[in-house]
Amino acid sequence: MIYEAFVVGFKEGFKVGLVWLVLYAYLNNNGKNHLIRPFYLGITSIAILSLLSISFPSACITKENLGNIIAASFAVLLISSGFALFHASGVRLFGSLSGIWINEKVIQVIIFIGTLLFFFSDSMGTLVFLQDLSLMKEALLGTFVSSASGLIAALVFFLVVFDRLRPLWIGSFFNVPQLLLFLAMVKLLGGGIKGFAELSLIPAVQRGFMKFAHDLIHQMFVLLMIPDHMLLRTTLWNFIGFFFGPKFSSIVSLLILLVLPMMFIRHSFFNPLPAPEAANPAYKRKIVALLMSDRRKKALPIIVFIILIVFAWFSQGGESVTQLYNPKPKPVIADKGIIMIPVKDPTMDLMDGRLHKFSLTEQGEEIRLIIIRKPDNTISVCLDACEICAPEGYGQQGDHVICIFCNTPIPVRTMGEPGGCNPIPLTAATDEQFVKIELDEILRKWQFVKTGKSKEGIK
Amino acid sequence: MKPAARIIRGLLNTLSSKVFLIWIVGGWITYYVLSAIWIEEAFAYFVLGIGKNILIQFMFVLFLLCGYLNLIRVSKDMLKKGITKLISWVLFSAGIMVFCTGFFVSLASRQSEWILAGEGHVVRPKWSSQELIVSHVDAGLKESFLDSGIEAGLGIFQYEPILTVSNAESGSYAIGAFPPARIGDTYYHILNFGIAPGLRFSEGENVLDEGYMPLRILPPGNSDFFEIQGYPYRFSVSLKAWRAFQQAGVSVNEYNMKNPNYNVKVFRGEKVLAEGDPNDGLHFEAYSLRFVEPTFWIQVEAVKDQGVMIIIAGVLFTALGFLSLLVRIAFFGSDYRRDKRQ
Repeated sequence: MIYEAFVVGFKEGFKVGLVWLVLYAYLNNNGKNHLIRPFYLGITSIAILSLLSISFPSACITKENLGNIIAASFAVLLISSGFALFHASGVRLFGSLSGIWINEKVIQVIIFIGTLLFFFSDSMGTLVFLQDLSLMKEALLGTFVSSASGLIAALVFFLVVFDRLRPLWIGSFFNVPQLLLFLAMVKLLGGGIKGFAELSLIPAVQRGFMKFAHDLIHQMFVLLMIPDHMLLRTTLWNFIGFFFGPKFSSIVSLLILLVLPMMFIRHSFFNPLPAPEAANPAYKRKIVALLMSDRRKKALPIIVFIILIVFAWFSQGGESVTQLYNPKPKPVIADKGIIMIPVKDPTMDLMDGRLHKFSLTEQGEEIRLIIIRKPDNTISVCLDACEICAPEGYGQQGDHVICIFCNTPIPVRTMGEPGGCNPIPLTAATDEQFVKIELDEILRKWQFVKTGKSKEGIK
Repeated sequence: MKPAARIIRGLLNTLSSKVFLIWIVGGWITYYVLSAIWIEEAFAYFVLGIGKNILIQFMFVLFLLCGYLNLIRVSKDMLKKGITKLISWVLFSAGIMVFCTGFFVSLASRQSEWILAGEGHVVRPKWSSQELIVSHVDAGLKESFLDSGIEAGLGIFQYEPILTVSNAESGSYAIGAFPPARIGDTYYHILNFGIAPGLRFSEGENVLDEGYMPLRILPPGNSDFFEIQGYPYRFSVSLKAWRAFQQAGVSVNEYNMKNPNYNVKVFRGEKVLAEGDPNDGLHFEAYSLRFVEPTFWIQVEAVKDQGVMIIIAGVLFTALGFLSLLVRIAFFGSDYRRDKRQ
């Protein structure tokens, strides 16, 4: 039994079971049980497609693209839930097209396509991960059998729960907006496709939001002409540094993510109710009480989501520097003005996708270099410093390197592009055996870092 | 009603509707989030787009127009519910819209230039006809400091550097690091700062070149280099401690900024010809280099931007509106509680 494969399979099965349970309960609560059929059809199609795609090489859809599709589907579901909430509050967002949603055939098509879109990227991502895992473990059958066992265990768990408890009352906690938000939360909390390294989408979402918060704050400093030079940080920077710190951007990012769930809470507890049409005041009060009770009931899953998000957010630890992979630099020396670093030796492999650091001592001073393989299989060679911040270097977290000074995440695939907080690129020649960098190139660019000239270079 | 008037009225009704505002804001959020997932540097592209891309500019202007029309529409309705609610709500919402307007104006119209200047230099950005002469550079540096103090975050400044510039017609102005000084239609502030030793390059008694050389060697530990045109030498410069001593068993260096000491290496190709402090004169081949009393240089950022004041106004309005909303809820209760009481 391969434990990681089992857990990954169980997670996927749990997602299917949970979505089925909530959807079925919701439809049952609205007297439309028969609309679950397109969901079954969608799941069956996904299962067939997944079985067919096991034989595909994993490169046909890159992991990066699958991850992006999952993140995009989370974003679309989250935004859609916002639109649906406005629609449910009485804003006729679709104008004369509003009637379409009442048509059952349209709903069936939406459920079928929605099921395909919701689960296809997750299942493909899981398959690609399992293929990689089976190669690492050198156990193709064992990996897939373990994963299938996990999947079946989760589905059996839901069937048993359903059979014993018949929890159809769950449906009364959901309306369309809550249902969409629930689907977004399933993606957020279970959309990771990197095994134990990233079971949920939270780290990726954190990076995205934190980058947005950081970029926005930086842009504000540029617009308001607040200097961010290393030299002047002795005075103003002590204040500014707070805004660039990881804690601030993590909290701001969390608040941005919670805006929509908070709108749901506001809608449930504080939005005025429509005046009930009843002559008897007592009957009127009864209707209002029923409506309020229903609204508050529907706020319960949102409160659970908020608690789960906050818990997951802080348990993931944000972009804490301590979580970064920050290897100790290996010393290198120049021979006739050239640094030669082997692509592969018994102690390291530059093509393994991890961050590699090297240090060069020149005139008693340590200069650090970083090397990493990019997703396009080219090698990127940079200084372990950027054009803006103090040269404290970078650490790696997943498919990003993170500036240790200002916590900006840099996608590995943009390494080698100059500017901003990206590491300063170095011109290097790479063949199958060695990465060769001219000492002059390193010294020239390092001099810029030390003297602050690189900052002018970005102008 | 004439057809043209009917079309305009219909257009205004659409633009001032809540539905259109929700769609346009939702559209922006979707566009940004999806591009951030695939492009990663989405914010940079968004900022560049607002500055240059006509389609993005059009969509942003449409959003602004829609936002302001909605503001007017809702304000009219809100006036019926009471003046306190109107004021707090309008302050908050108008603050956000004004901020967005400033953001757009700033990105679409900003001009900026970085100017290196020392005493006696003229500062004149390319869009300005006003010449400002640097009359004084107050470095604000401590006379002496310890390297252990820099590491402990005490810094090298006694106070922030100040640049005094003057203009024959409009008088003199002080420019600091922050906030920027507004002179005419341009903002100025100090972006970077450094020391410029006076140097004298001689062959025997014959002075071949002299002047101030702006160097980026602050804070100590940094080194910079310069070349003298027409000669094959490269001079690497760093600050040298005035004295070193032991403090609690740790070696500490003290730097004197009134009469700084330097360490200069003279290179010809890879070969080091000489090394030492040019305050005492540094001799190599047939030449000598001497550093005399330094001056200071300042890098000034000049910015012409009509959006800055709008952004500041937007931030102030939003903050005031937010506070008044909080006060209103604290003292008068939320709409929901009030409606329930009624």
